[in-house]
Amino acid sequence: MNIQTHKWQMSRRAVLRGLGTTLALPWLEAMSPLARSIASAGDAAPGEIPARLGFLHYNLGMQRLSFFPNETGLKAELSPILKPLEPSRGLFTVFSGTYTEEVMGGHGGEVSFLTGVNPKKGGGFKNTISYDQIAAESIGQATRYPSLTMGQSKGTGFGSNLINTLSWNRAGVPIASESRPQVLFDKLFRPESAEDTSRRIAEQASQRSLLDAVRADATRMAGLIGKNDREKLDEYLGSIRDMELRLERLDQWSKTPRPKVNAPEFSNLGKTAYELNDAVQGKVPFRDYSRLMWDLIALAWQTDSTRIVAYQVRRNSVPAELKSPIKDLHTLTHDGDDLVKLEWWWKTDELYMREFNYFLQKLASIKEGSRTMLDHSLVGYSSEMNGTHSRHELPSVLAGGAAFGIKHQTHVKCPKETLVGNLWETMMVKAKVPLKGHINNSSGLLPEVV
Amino acid sequence: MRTTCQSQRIALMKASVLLLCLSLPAIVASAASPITPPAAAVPVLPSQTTAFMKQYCFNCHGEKKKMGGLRLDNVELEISGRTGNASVWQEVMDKLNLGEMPPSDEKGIPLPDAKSATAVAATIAQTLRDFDRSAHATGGRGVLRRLNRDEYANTVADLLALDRLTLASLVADLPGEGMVEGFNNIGSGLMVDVSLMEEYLRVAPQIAKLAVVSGTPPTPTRKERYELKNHPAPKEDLELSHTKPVTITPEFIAEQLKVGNIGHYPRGGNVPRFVPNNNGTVTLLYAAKSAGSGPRGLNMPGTSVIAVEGDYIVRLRAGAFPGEGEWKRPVKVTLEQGKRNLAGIDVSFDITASENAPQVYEERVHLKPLPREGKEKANDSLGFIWNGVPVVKSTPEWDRLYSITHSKTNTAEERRAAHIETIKLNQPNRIYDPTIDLKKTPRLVVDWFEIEGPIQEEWPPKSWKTVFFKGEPKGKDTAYLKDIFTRLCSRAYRRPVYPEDVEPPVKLATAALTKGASFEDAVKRGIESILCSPNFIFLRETSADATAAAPGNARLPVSDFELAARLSYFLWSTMPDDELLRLANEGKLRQPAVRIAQVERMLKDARSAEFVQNFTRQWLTLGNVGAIQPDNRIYKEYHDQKIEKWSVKETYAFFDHMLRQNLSIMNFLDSDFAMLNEPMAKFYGIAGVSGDAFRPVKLTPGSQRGGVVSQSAILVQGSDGVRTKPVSRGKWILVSLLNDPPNPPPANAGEVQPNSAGAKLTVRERLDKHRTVATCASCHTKIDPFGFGLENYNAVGAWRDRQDGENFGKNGPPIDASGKLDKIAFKDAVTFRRALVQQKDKFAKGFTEKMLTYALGRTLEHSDRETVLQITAALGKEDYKLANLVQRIAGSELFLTK
Repeated sequence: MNIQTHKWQMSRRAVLRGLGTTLALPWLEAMSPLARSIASAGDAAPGEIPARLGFLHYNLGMQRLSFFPNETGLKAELSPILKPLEPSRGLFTVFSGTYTEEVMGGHGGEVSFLTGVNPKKGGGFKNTISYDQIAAESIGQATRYPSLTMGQSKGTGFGSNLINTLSWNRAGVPIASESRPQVLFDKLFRPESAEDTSRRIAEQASQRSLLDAVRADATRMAGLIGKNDREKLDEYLGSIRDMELRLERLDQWSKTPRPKVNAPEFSNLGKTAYELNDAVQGKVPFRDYSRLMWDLIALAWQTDSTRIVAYQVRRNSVPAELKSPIKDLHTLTHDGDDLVKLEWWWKTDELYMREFNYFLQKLASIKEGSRTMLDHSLVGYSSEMNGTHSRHELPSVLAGGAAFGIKHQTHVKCPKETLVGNLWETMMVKAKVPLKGHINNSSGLLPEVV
Repeated sequence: MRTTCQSQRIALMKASVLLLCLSLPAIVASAASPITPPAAAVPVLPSQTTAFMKQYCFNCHGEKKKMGGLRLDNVELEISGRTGNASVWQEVMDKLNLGEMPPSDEKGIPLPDAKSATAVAATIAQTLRDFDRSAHATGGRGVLRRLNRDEYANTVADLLALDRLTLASLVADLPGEGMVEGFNNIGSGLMVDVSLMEEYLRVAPQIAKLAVVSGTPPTPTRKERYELKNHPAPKEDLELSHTKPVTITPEFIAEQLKVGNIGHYPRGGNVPRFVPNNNGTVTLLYAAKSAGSGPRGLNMPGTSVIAVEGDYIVRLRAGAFPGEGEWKRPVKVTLEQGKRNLAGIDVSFDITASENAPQVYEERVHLKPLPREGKEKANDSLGFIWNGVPVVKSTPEWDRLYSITHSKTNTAEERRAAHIETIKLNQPNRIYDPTIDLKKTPRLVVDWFEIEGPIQEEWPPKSWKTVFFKGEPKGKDTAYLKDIFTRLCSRAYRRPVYPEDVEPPVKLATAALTKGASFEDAVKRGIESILCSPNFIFLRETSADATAAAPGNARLPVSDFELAARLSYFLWSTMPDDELLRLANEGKLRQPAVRIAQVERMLKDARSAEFVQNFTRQWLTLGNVGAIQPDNRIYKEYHDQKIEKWSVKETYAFFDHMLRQNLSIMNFLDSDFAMLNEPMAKFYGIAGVSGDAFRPVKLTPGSQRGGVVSQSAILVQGSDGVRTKPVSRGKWILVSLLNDPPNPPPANAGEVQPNSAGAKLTVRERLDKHRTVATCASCHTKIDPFGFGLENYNAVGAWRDRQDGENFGKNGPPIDASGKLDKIAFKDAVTFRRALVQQKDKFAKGFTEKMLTYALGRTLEHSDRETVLQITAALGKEDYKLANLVQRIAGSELFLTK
């Protein structure tokens, strides 16, 4: 690996020339040790560094007594949970006082974490498009992948106690999330030979004709089924249309090779990395898994493979490494003022914050122009509930974005009942996502940091 | 369209073999006696609620004060999506449950007594639940249901005569299913989006390629035999002659250990294990337990036989000495593929032959090549481990240094320093454990080890013959093309087909032929389109309102073909077989006698294992087993004996046995038998069961076991890995067995708390403290008895008389598992189960509802209650027999109409 890295450092331009590309000089100033070439970065114009959006979800909230700092302002002393973020001081802000109006706090709130509609409003609850997908429809179009949906468990988990994904399409259908670092890596970076490329192009053509064939079937079926059934068939027809759009994108990108990046080590994950469907506690080493996922996001952004990520960072597990006497996060969060539960809960949160700091530091270590990649990224996290299964005082954090005018305060006390959507809207507006009015569950920006 | 194509259609039908010899049944089945369903329940709170709120709430939350910005006097009693008032009612319910409202310090406002506040809260909870249901309501009908992942894989396998296991791994990447009310086959939860479509498009060509193979077998069957006497000692291994027999003595081992390992890290298994014998066999002495990876056996490095996924035969010629005294154990050899059994295969041989007379053991195993990339390459080997006794131990000094050099949290400097120290140590990393008498430990004798495969039953394979049912195609035989797709479509779409159905695949295939593709490749294209077609992936039923053949909302009988599909997806999770389709085509399947005989046949068929597993897994939430890993220090046996794996199989076996023997469903609550194998029997402390196979075991009266609530797979779900959670267990019984979920807990309800420092209260004592709060008590009186009765089972389901786990040690306080269920007192888990049986009416209703939900693929509604009551009433007169219930559901009005 070292040899290859050096080779790249010596001859990046040579690589570009060798590939015969006519790419403009890349906007990337430095590569992480893993990257070897940016021969196929996205279509950012020279000098223009794009905004990246990270929507992160930490399920079940943070321990209520140890999360919010007592003081406010840039120099506020950090709380026990946030202590690991000390090295990133000045690069993030914690907001107390955020709350969700449309979404009922408590369980079930995850389904609308990024859509902002009320799942308990009933009348045939119908979800709507999530914020990351709104962004994917506009600024996401510049890259190979409009967005990535990641999570600790693969699939959608729709209908289970805890959904696996944050992303929903316009029809309110959940988009499956990917939990396997190896699969994500392949999708983003696995190099394609000329043969592979021509095979893929042929495959895409044949997929198109398949879509035509089955559309004919669906249209005929529409005339035979009842009202109840038609909605399902509409989902099917919608998926044909979306697939056609996806193929169109692939065509546009098919001539551009994928970025060359050295593969990280996946073998620590134990089980065949391709079969890792669920990264729950005890089944994979927490730290290895966590860092692989963060590294992949950083790489995807660095190579401009995508600019938007929605990532369910945490589900219900207490990392086994902590050796907590209680293995189930949900049990911890029903603390009932029990000191032991409160202790292991904050320790769990704190461990996740250490990993979050790793991510921030990673982004901050990558130079872009006169700034860093973190300055060009807007990373927000929150939860569907706070410690007491309530919808008040959500643990909301914004990091990065200095290049777009974000002025970090470490800790800001928002006016009571500030909608949490304001966090997401601030990120989206700063990333120049065109919005018509406010997004769901939002009343505007967070004025304290813009 | 339909009439103009009539003649064409009949011509097509004639051309094909199956289904098509008769004239087509009409698209709409005759509208015999349409039935109008009763109206759905409207979720409205009773008017007494207003009276209560007027007295206690409106003073502050009325038009004038609107305390906290909340006004309650104008909130409608009907909960509806239109007004979106559900969240307001939820808040009211929570506050009442918590006892926070009305506030006790408000002057002049009387406080309600806990009982009436709880009653109002419970009414709100029930009405909110009705509202949730009505939100999913579809007027007593399912919605267009697509095949879930399992059904898709099974159907493709049956349609094209492919191997089910191969298919299962092919479709493993299809997104997982949405669940509704705990089941993954409910139409409203089975969505379609672009990621699913992408996967359909991706796997379809792979499936077609698998089905339509031509020429010579692409992967010839090969055999590789590995003689153990030729096994080279790994490079780091000890010098050990493979040619000269030696005598094993402790001194020999100790001597060998001294020679080779100085300066090395402790490594897995690099100690003498192979001792050649005069007759060409090799004796394996278990002589190592490495610090890191556990016992290792023998690997067959990088075998090239496993070139494709398929069935292989693994053979082993071996015998064993089972050991003596404290070391005596049945010798067991477990197959592994890849480093630490990366592939996760689960095959083992019980070596019963003696040391001097080895026998051949063989097993057919489904294997696939492991990904050969990066580090994985070295791991793609086949081998086995065995359960010998480790006879050496590492020295404490080595252990200490090893933990430093191998810890990722240490810095490189720290690790390097420890490494140097290791070298300086200049001593063997393992020493012989003198307490072990090598003459008495088990030995394994192996002659050779062999793999053969992939096993091909016939060539061309069955799938090819299924597609090309008239034999080898000649040239561009377009008539044959049409025949092939008419036949395939009618089976894939589970009904007679029209020319329009056959047209898309024929068109695609013809286009491919025109472009110069071979006939077989052209057929593949057509198959791909069938596999992605909505006709295939949806279980389509024609609708009355689409054809206007029946008035308004009336229910129509399902057609014979629709019934065939309903039955086969209910009992087999796959497409109807030829017999069902034939009976449907003859118009006979709806005749009650025929239907009943078919259900009976289907339950006898091996495919009914799908019903057993899919229904049992979801009904008893077995998917949760393993979600929380029990503490492996406290519950060592649970981990060592793989109880997690076996316990799930036990519960499946239990359901399976009851179905096959047509026993009363009340056995789920308590039974005088258990389905056990050796590890489970030992775990439960029941003697006289040997081997891994499950079999019915008669239980003595008053046995600790009986019914599902005494099974580990159920009990472990109600624990947090260390201690039991009686409330969760109680709730589980209410939800899963009685289908009577308790009201949701208020926000910030605590759970069973760990003991605070110094205190050694039992879980129950801690819960009793919690129950002293009046508002908590109201719900917990309903839930807790169900959980307390199970307190005799610990966090992993082993019996206990004293509190265990949580550092209680051997003299924990005695368990109090007593309580009362509907006035029937019980004193422990045994008498609790007897009391539970008295809930039989509730259970029969709850169980029927669960199975009906699964059978119909939709949630039950208010209008379905009548059917449920009819079924349970009839079942009660038949001793609640399980197979009878299946019959009654398959014969119910809801199942036979749409």
